[in-house]
Amino acid sequence: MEQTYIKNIRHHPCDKQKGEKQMSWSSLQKTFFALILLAILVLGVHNTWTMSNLTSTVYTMQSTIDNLNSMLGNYTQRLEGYLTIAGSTTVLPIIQTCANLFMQENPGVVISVSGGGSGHGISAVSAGYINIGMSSKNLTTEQITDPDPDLQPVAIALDSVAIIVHPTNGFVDDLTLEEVEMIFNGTITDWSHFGGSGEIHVYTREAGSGTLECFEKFFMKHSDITGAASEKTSNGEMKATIASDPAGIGFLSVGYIDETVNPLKIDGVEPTVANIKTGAYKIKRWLFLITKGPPTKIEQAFIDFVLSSQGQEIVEQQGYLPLEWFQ
Amino acid sequence: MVNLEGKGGMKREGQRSLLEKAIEIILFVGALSSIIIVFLIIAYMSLEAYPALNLDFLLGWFWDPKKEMFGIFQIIVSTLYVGVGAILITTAIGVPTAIFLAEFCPRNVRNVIKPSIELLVGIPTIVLGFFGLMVVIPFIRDNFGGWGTSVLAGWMILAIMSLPHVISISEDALRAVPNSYKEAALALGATRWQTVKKVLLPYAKTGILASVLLALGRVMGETMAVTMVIGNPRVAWIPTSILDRAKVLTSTILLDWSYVEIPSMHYHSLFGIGLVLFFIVALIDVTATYMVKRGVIK
Repeated sequence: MEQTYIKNIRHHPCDKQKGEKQMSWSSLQKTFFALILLAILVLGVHNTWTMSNLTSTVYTMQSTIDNLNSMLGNYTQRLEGYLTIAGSTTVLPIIQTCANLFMQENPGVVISVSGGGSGHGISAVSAGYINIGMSSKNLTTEQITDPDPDLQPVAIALDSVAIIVHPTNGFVDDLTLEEVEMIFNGTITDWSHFGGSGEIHVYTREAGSGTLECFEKFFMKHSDITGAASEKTSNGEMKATIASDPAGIGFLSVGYIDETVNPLKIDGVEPTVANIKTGAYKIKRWLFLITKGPPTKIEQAFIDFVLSSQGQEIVEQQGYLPLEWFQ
Repeated sequence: MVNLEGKGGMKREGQRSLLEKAIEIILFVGALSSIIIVFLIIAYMSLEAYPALNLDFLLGWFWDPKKEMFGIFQIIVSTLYVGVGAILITTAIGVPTAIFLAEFCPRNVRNVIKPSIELLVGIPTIVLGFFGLMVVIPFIRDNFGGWGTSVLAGWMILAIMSLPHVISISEDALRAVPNSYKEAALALGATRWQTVKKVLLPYAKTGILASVLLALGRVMGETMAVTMVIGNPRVAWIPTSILDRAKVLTSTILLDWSYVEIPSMHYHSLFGIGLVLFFIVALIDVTATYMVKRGVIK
C-alpha cells in the first residue's frame, strides 16, 4: 500500500513536472550560469596578461567571416561586413567622406572611422584592433623603431603643412625657415621681434602626430621644439586654438585651413595647393592607408574606392593633393 | 505515512537547499568578481609599472619622453597644486551653500536650488571642458592676460565639477545632526547663526571634511576637462602663478598614450604615473572613509 502510494506520488505527472523537473532545471540552469560566469572570469584573468590574444582571436574570427563573405560575394556580388579605421587626423576628413559614400553605394557595409593620430593608427592596426590604419608618416621613418613587417601601406594622397596664426595677427605675413625654427625652439619669444607686441604663444602637436613629424623634418633641422609649447592632440584642436588665441602660432595640415586661421608664406611662397603642386612650396608628405597583411576583399574594395577617380576627387575637395599630380 | 512525508519533504528540502546553494554561489561569484577585478587592475598596473619604479622616476625633475627622461616630480606637484586649489574654491562656495540649504533655505527656494545643483552632476566632463575652452579660457586671456589655458582655468572647471558632491554630502552631514541638539541650543537663547556655528558645524565637521576629501580625490583623477583647459606645456614644469600653464598626471597619460611604444620605458613610466595617481587618490579616499566612520561612531 505504502509502496504503491510512493510510486503514485513519484509518477504523478504534475508532481514530477512541476516539482522535480522545474526545480532541477532551474538549479541546473543557475549552476550552469555560475559556471559560465566563472569561465568568463577565468578567461578574463588569463587574458589580462595576454590581452592581444583575445583581440587577435576576434580579429581572426572577423577576417574569417570576411573571407566567408567574400566567397559568398562571388555569387551575390555584394559586399557585407564591418570596417574599423583609425589614425591620423590629417587623413581623417578624406576617409570620413569616402566612407560615407562607400556605405551609400554598399548598404551591407558599415565603416567606423576615428582619429587618434598616426602613431595610434599604426600601432592599432599592427595589434589587430582595427582593419585599416591611417597614417601621415611613412613606415620607414626612423621614428618608428620597430615597424611590423606585416604592415602594408598604400599611398592615397599628398598633404602639406602650413604655419598658421590668428587672422588678426597683422605683424607677420611671411617668415623664413630660420625664423620659424627660432620661434618654435624658443629663441624668439616676443612678437616685438616682428614689430608687434606681447608674448608668442607656441602650440605644438603630441609626439605621435604625423603633422608634427613633417613639421620637424622641414623646419626644426637644428633644434627641438621648446618645452614651453602647449601640446594639442589633433588638427581640429590646433585650428580651434589658433582661431581663438590672437598671440598664438602653430602648424596645421593644409586640408584643415579655412578663413578662421591665417596661413603664413614661407620664404615668400604661399601654402596653396597650386604652389605645392608646382613644388614652389616645398613642404609635402604622403598620406597612407595601412592594412595588416594583404587586405581582405572588403578592405581592398574600400582602398580601391579611395584610389578611384571618385575618391581622388574627394581628396581634392578636402584641400589635399591627389596622387595623379605627382606621378 | 509520517515517514513517507518526511522522506518526500527531505527530498524537496534537498532540492531547495541545492537551489539556495546555487544562488549563494552566484551571489558570491558576483561579490568575488568585483574584488578580483580591483586586485587584477592593481596587479596589472604594478606589473607593468614595475620596471619604471625607482627614485629617478618619482623625484626626477624632467618629463621629456623624446630625450628618455621620465621624472614626474614636477607633474605630481602640479597635480596637487591644481587639485588642492580647485578644492579650496569648491569648499569656499560649497560649504556655505550646504549650510544655507540645510538651515536657512525656505522650502520653495530649496526646491529650485537643489535640483539645479544635482543637474550639475549630469554634465559630462567633456562638455565642461568644451565650456572651459570656449568661455573660461578667452575670459581669462582677455581679463587677466597670459595664454588663457592656465591653472586658474583648471581650478574653475574642477570647482564646478566637484561642487555638487561637496554640497550634497555636506548638507547630509548637517541634516544628520540630531534635532534635540539644535532645539537645546535654540532653547538656551542662541540665535540661528550661533546654533550653526557652535552646534551644527562642530558636529558635522568630519562629514564635511570627508566630502571635501572625496571631492579632492575625484578632481585629481579627472582627465578630459582638465586636459582641455590646463595648457599642457610639452615639458612639464611647476607652475609659478595661477595664470601659468601646467601638466598634470592624468593629462600626461592621455597625451602620451596614443603614440607610446609598447613595451618601452616610456610605456612603463605611463603605468607608473597611473599607479602613483591611484595611490594618491586611494590614500585620500581611505582618509575620507576613516573620517566618516569616526564621525559616525562619535
